[in-house]
Amino acid sequence: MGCEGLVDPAVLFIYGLVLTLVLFIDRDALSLALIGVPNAIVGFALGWRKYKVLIALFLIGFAGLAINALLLTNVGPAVLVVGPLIVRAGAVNTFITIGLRITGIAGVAFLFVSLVDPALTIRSLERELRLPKGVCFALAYALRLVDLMSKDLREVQGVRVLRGYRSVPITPTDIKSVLTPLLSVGYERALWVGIAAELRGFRLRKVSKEPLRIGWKEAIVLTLLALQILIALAGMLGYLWLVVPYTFH
Amino acid sequence: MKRYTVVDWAILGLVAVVTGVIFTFTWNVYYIGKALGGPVVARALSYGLWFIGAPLAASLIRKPASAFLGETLGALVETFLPNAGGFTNLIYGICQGIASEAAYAIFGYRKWGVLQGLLAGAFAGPVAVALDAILFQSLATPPVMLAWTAASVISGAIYGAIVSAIGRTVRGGSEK
Repeated sequence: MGCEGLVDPAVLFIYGLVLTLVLFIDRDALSLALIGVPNAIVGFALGWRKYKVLIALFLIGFAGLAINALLLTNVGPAVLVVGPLIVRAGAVNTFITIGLRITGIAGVAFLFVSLVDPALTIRSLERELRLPKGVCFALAYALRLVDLMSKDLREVQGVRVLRGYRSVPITPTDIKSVLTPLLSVGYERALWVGIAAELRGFRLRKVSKEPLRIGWKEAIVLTLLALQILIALAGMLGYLWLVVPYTFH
Repeated sequence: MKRYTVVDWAILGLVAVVTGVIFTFTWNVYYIGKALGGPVVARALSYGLWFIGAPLAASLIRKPASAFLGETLGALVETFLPNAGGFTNLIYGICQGIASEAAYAIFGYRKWGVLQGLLAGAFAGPVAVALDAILFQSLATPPVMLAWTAASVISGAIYGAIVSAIGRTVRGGSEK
């Protein structure tokens, strides 16, 4: 889905980065729930059609989170007894807090990748957020290379199969034998692309700087971001527990 | 400070795409590990592969800040590719890139060999563990943290050395 007509990619980038940072440091279960759950619902709903396997894998990972919580933080009063297994408050708290945090982060991630076109985002980062043009050139070139490198990788894998080796690299030696030809081809290509860009006057190219585009959609996104930062602050300072007393604690 | 040419930026783009794709692939390793043994096992298995951007870029470009840029741009490309990590990739990439850069800075940016690559991978390990301690705070008990740090340093050192050797082969020439 392209982003023309949708929210400015630079604004979505700021939203994603700041909200992830907030979710990263927030330790309060209630504020994590208030921020993480709505973002996860929207992100998973937007990304479901294209990324359902990834979302399913992410959800399967919760089994591992439960195992870790039981193994490492199963302390405090018993909450649930299932046969020989006693689930204690510590494990439940850990599962809920970390589960909400990673759900929120994943939700924001799927929301971002579902709504933006990477190429337009890079242009936006360069013009509106003043990212250096060299960095943007490298990013744009990297994204342009994804298909080309995938083709190269398939050829390397094909040759490995012909030689009787496994196509998917597993051991460090496999990784070395796949990466070396892949990088050799890519290095030669990058060298000539760089020379060609230099000859075409890349260094002299002026970047047309633009102010951050703030329409009504962007204003809504930034307001939602500010609101979620306030919720996180309130949660971290302990105020939310006064407003909503029936919580996970 | 040595100036970056367009060729350097193009090579950084190459490193970013290779590492970005490997980083994204590593999420599969992470998910399998997480489903079988939770975040602790998952991180220990997949750590080293997430640190290769810095030593690879540094061994190919051999200029100050190349390690930092290699790790950060790889992480930025990974952020643009669909995965559950999203922007945490960028946060990790920046922090790990700074740590890896130190491995070249302590040699005065005069050596770009396998030893420096090994150190660059190893230096990123504790940083990743520290960030994990924030992300998975309740799971990080001291013995787990210690095992986790050791695993990440060893994993990072192995992959750092491997990609530095690859970088040297691809670029050719001496370590200097």
